[in-house]
Amino acid sequence: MLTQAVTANVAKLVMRSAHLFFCVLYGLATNAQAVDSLQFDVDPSAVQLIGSDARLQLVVSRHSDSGTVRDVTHSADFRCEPAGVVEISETGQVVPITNRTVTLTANQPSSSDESPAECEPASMQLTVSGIGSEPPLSFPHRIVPIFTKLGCNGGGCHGKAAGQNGFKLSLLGFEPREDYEHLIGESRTRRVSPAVPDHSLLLTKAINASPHGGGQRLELDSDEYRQIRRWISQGMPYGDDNGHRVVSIAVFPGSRRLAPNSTQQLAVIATRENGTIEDVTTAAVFESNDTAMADVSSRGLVEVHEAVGDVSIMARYQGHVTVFVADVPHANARQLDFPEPANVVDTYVFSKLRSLGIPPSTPCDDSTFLRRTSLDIAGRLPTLEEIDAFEADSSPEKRASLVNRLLDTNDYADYFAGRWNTILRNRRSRGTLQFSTLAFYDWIRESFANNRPYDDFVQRILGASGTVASNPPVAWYQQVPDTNQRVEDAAQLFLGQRIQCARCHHHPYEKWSQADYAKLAAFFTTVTNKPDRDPIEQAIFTRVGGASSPHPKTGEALNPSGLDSDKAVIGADQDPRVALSDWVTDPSNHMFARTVVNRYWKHFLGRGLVEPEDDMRVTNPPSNPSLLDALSDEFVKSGYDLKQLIRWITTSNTYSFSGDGSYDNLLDRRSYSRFYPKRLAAEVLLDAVDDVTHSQTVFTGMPNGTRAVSLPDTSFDSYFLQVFGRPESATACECERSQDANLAQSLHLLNSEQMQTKLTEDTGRAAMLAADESRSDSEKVSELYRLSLSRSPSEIELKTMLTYLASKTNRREAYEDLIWSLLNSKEFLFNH
Amino acid sequence: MSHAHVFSRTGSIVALIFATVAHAQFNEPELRSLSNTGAQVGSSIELSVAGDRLDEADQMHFSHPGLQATVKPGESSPTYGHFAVQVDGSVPPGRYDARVIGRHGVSNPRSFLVSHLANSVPTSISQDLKAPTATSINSIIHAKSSPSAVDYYSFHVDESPASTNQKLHIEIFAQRLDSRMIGQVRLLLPGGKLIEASRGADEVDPAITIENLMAGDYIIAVNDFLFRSGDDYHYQLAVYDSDAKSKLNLGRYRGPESFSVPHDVVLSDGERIASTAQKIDLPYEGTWVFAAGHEENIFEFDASQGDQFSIEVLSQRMGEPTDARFYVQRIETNDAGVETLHDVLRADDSFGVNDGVLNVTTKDPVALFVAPVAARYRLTIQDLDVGDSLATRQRYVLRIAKTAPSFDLACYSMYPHNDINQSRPHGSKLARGGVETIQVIAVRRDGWTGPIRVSAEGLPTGVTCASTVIAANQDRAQLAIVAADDAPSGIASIRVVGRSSDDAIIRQATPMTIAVAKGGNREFTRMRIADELVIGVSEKDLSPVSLRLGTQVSEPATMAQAKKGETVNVTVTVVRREGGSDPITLRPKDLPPGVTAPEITIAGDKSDGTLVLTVTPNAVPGTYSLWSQGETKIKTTPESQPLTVFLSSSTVNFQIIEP
Repeated sequence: MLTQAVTANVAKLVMRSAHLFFCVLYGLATNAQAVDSLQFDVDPSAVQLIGSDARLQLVVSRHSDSGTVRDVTHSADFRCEPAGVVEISETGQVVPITNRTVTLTANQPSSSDESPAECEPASMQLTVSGIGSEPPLSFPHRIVPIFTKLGCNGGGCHGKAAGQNGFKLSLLGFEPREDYEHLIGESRTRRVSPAVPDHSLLLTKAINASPHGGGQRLELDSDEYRQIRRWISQGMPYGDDNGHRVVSIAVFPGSRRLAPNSTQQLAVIATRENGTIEDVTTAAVFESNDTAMADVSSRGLVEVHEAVGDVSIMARYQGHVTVFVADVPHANARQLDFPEPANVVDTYVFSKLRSLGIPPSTPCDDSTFLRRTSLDIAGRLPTLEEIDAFEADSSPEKRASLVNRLLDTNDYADYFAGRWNTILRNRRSRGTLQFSTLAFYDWIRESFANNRPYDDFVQRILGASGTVASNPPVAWYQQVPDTNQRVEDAAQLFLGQRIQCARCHHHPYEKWSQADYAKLAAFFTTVTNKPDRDPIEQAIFTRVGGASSPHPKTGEALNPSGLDSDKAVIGADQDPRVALSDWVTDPSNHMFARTVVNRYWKHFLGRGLVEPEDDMRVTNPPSNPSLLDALSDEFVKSGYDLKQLIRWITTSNTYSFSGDGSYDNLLDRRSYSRFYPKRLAAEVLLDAVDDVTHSQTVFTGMPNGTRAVSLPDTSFDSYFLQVFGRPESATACECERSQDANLAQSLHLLNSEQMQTKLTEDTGRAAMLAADESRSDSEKVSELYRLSLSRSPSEIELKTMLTYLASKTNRREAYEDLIWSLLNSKEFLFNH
Repeated sequence: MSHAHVFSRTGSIVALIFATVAHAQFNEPELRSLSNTGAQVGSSIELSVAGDRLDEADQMHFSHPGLQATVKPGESSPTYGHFAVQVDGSVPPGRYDARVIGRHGVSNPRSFLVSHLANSVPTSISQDLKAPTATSINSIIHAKSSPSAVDYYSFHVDESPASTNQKLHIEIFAQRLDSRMIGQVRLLLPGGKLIEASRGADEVDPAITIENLMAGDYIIAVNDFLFRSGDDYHYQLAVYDSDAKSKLNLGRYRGPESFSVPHDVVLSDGERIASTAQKIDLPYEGTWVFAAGHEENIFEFDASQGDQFSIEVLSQRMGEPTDARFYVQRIETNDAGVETLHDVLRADDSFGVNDGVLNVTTKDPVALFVAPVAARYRLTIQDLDVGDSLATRQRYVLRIAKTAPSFDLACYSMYPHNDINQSRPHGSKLARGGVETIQVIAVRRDGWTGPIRVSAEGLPTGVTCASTVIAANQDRAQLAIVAADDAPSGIASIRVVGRSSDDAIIRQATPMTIAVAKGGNREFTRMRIADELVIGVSEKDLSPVSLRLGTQVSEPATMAQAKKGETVNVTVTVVRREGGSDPITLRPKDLPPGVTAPEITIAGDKSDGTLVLTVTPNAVPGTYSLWSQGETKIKTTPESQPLTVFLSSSTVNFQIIEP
């Protein structure tokens, strides 16, 4: 029912004219008296066109009196005075022809339907120099970026560790010297032929004139082809590094509000060590973080689709990254009504929704809220007693009280311990239950039961020292025995940084270098172990000695320091991990609080403010940065109180929005105008099935009555859990858990022996209801609905069920069928 | 896998099982558990025993004479293995060793707890939270952990101020009573809401202390942490108030490393050290509480050049879950008052002696400090085990004393097997003509480096034991307890004593026992200090084979001598009796450094052989002892199949001298 509604509304929206949205939003068709003006978004005077290879991507915006700004780069008329100094393409790319200073003018005819108003042109001066006296092309600064742009040195092609078909390049060109040696020194000069450059394999394969597994990557008539060809004809100089190294890049514009179905041209400007500023748009690599929202071309043209929300476009060049952020507001500019903000969550969510013109859904009803919070906080369905009590409660604070009650249950501790246990990779290494696994799980569980402050929780894990019996977080070091994995897990878990790329090369989407990685790794280099009573459960401690880690390239011994942090001062007798955990959990380290806030936000709202939730980087900005910052600040001020964080989220109006989308917010997937339904996690679903069927799944070695959410690790044999996406706990990544729906899940619920057994058990729900003659069928059907869906049946549902019961002579089977149908409903399978 | 391969493997497994069973019948009795692991002072109880080779068990031997047992009578013969135990009113509360004596000798000890609390052994324990087994404050319940289940108990706190204001203790006695159980205990409200929990570990039992409980009913949940069960997963649940606590005298688990604790050391309550340096005068002894987490404990003291002190932290050996390390730095202060620290000494784990079964290595640091110059010194103590799951308040004794070079000894009966991983609890069954090997381990302190002459005292009639030597470069030696062919039956509590060459230092060895064998997902042999070392002679049994070692000694030496590069011939005399006619493979054991000797096989029709010891240039001069283990098959009734057994030889001493 839910899915059908979504599909129908999406179809309606798709049928709407995007053009109509555009016109209604900006009112341009009716504002004929206004005078607009054009502006260059990149100041060409700051850009030098030096040499014939230089290019400049113009970006021209039209600014209206009403404050709207619109990209007109591709529809503007460009003139150059005097003529012949540069050529300007229809897409606004400037190509130098001769050395001189010229005046560029951009104009837009008023005859355009889209631009009926008068418009003041924009003009500026541009200087061309260096034509005819170009220095030899530099391999690292001119040729390698072409490889990157064309994808030659990507991880799926020649950039992978073993290379491709005998030709190896460093990943994304981070090691140009090695690339140069491979290119020039191998293949008996066939790859590059200075005598006949056009016969070089480098070129013939790139244009697919020679067989090339990667297909055609380059046009014969392209700037890139010409540059490579010229470099070969110059004798393949390596070039020097003097001042050419890129120190920063910037994208223009940096942010913009865009209409649905509009476009925006981007330009990327690089600043080199010698101070020169250069347009590198054609050489930069662009990537959208949400292709459902917007695509971007290889030349930096952003095409926004129909959905409203926000999107970011990453631009990467020579190891540097920058981001263009776009808000795409709703076309309907009507006044929106919001409830009074309950707390910081609502303040910033509503602010964004207002900004984007997205109306919120109505609040969900009490039964939905009860089911939602019970599943999200306690990992289980509400009991009949809880449903009755909640319905009977007329207090205005009943929802907040419910949240507090749930947070005070053992179930809350069980559920959240299980979630953390999985990403902390706490999994037995032997077949039977293992002391260290259970002890660590127990410690995690106790931490949540006692609401241990999150900074303390992390400090105790990172600084774990001793035996697992006395100090169970030591198990984390046992489970993650490799130093690199410890670095990467710690960064991903607690800082939201996927730093593993920087182990082998500069991080392609972040600023982290191999040196950054090595310095972080240095904190762990003195960690060692010694036998405890049980030799399998080694004690962890720090040996005496200076902590350092060698730079993987230079071999230089690097002292410990956090990311973007000063070198830590650590004595030979000190445990470097104390300094590490101090730095990680310091309130000034914004990565720490933001990561856990984002992780929890995703747990409750279904989608992280940053997605994936443990991949926070400048090129993957949050959908609501103000909210993430504000909620993180509050979290820090609370003393890293995780229960309080949950209270803020779950008592907000935002969390209470209905999962039913309206016409105006159904396409929203990033702004939280409605509750995004989530399939129940594997363990929660199995427990829910057991609750409804009144059966008990037995887990080998555990006491009868153990619920799936309370299992101490993920090693228990269960096809149900496996098929519904229980993670293996082999990595620190939340992505191991699958919330997808698939055919195997449907078949298992519909027709598996396990489900059949649960439905037909003599002590099961169906047998109990069939045997119960003290109540009417109506009462029993109502109970089934309340048990499984936390609500009473509607009239038509009740009538349908009763009709079915009446049609069957075998009442036990009839009840089995009713339960079966409820368990297979989407309303049961989803938290909505 | 081919069928042939499968059959081959199956055959091996079957053979292994037969061998194990057969071996078991020949060996000493193993007492696994008592049905009743304790009793109230002045009470009489009944108990039964479980284990292997406990045939005709009709006596018990306790380590306190106030504990007496009589076998339950039967219709025609005693009800073996069932006893009435009388606890005399004079027996002080505490833990005692209980052994069983039967046809196969005297068993290993199991702990028996005597207390002032009422004891009960319910016939069944509830695993239903809603229908818990009732208990009460100031009582002890005896039970065994249930397979993949949790045991539930209930108790009531009445409304009297004395009840609600009291400090209540809920404690599991398991590891300390030789149980395999790693206890977990939780205090719950009747609905299941958790109030407090405690989890044990190897050698640690869980305990909850809680104050000011409101009047009402409470639930106690008890389970093995790994949800294991069996005879040897027994436990006692004690619920008691502070008055009773003062009368309980169980203490911590008596782990093997604690044998090196000086007898006069007392672990008092202590206090947490301030963050600033604590000034102390030497010699010094005091109890402190470790600073929290990774924080350090800093002391400063003055010493004159050449001062020698033994600096010792006693914590893990006192049962605290700690791992101390310390370093000493000399403080140099310049004219501006700025201090500079210079490293002088660092110490971590100590007494590193581990024979694979008995490991007396302690995590407590012990080191000899010699002041290089007259100065102020800073002593920084760290606890590398920063966890608080087993104790939130972890104490230590800092003892800085004038050096007193000496040694400590520990001893235990070695399990007769060539694979130490098979070691398991076992008693003593010294057949006539048989040999039992006692391993003696030494740790030296304060720089003492001399050899130790070891002997056994208090041997019963017909039993002898030649003294052996722990050489200066060794940390262990073996005593062979030999029963004569006419030795009478009986058991005896013997003593192992070590002496320095000049008899200036005499130490009695602390007896140890194997409490729990490997298994149950715990991969180590758990040992503990025993109250006594007991041997039992069985005149009903005659060892099918006796192995005696000897050397040719030429005057004026009193024992065989060899120079580096020479060999020593050790004669092996085999006395074969009924069932002992198979070949014997003889393996020299625990050879001193630089001495090699290949194993030999003595044919079934031979009664002697020679072990050839080669003294390599790497050998160190000194007096050493040698023992060997023979592997052979014997035939004993009622076993129809030959049994593979591992028999100890007697010992022989020899000397390595300078060329």
